[in-house]
Amino acid sequence: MKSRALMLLLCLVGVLSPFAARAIDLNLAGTLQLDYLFSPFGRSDPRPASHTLDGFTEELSLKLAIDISSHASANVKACFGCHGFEVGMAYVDFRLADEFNIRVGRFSPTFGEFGLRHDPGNHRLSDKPLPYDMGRMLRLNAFGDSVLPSPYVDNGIELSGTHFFDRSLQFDYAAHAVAGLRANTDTPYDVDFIASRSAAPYYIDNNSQPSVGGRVGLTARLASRVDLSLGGSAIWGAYDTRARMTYTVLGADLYLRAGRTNVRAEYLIRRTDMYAADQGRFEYMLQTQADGSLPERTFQVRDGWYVEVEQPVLRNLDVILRWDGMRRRGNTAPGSQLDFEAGVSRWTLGAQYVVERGYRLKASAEHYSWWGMRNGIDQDWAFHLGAVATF
Amino acid sequence: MRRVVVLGVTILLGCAAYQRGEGLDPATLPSALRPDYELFAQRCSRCHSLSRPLNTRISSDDHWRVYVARMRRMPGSGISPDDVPGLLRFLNWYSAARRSPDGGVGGTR
Repeated sequence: MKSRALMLLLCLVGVLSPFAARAIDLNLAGTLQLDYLFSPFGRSDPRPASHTLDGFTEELSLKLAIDISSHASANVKACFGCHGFEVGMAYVDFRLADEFNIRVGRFSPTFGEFGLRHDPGNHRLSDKPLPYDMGRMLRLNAFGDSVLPSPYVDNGIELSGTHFFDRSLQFDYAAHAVAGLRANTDTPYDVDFIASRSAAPYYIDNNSQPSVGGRVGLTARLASRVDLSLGGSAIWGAYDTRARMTYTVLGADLYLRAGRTNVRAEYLIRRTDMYAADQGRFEYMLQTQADGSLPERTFQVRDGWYVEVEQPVLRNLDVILRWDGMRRRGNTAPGSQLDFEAGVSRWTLGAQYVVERGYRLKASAEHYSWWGMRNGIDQDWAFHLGAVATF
Repeated sequence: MRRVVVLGVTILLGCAAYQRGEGLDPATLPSALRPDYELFAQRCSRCHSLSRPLNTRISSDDHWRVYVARMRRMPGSGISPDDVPGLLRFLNWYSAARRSPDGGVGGTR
């Protein structure tokens, strides 16, 4: 028995030895952003409670990347922001070929283009586009969460790969199975993104049913300094504790670079089931079934978009223009501030000034236009001033 | 309105007078490396600022090789296998220049 075990051990060592290596290098990186969000109110329009996370907000992240060998690497990232300390990354990549990488652990499932740039050191404005917003949009509690708050971090496995057909054409794919978004109830209205991200009680699944999704993308080098990327993403899963209410998120993304000008655009849409077997839970009449009973579920749809142009005007000064928005369509809880259909459109003009390599100032002005808000509010202004350090 | 314009022009002139960008000044680099630096600046600024790679403390050629390979595999990186030699040429030179006693070549410090 012992000799069999020894043989098995030796076989295992033999199989794995080509990849075995000690950790060859570590790289520590981090970002710190302090942002002040000012949203003016007059005496006739007092600031509502839970208007937004205005005032000072700090986001901090520290990331350790370990290249274990040319085939394996590990990443661990700790974040501190509006929700306290959280684990933003804790995963291992094992690459058999460029076309086949296996990632296991806690990571951001590949979706859209913005996910790669969610770190405040990697996007030029202080806040995120509305479909990816996580708490910085105005009237957040009235309107509800965005389509897919970023960073969306989850536990699971992802297979991915990239292939260059020649120097000018790159194909990417990623497919994942993760715990999925959550709501800690079996009668939900919507996904609870705080519960989805929270470590309390632990980073565990709430319904034992994985969520699946992925992205495919194509990047073409149209000229020596012109690149175009197109991508499509999808996620599907159940989010309530009984795994009966489902969500589907679809996305399309575009990135164009011409010289030093970047144009980025994305569209996201999420369809989310709502538990509906009780009319008392809703503002609007539910449609009954043929036998006169109420259906178990109805649904709401949220979609959002952004188009962003980043234009360097000096070596140390970029100007950014962004148009983004979000819409919601569906029944609401009694007393909601939203009509059956509501939305917001926002224009942002911002600048980023490089004080020193790795240290930047960000400033922006935002104009919100609302519709479908029962409190009669139809526009808001907001101003950001912040500093970000990457190290 | 006039005050806003004056303020804007003043800020712009102030920025122009003190230009320390995220990247390096190509004019201060060895001429043979300028195409490699341009490639680096173009490819490596899609997802993050140039300060990320320029401020890391990576010093070994082997580590840069693994690091660039990892970045090349990122979705939509646009870094083809043919780009790698040029990127490594610049990064290896940059690391050595930062470590050199006279340092600071091309704003490397």
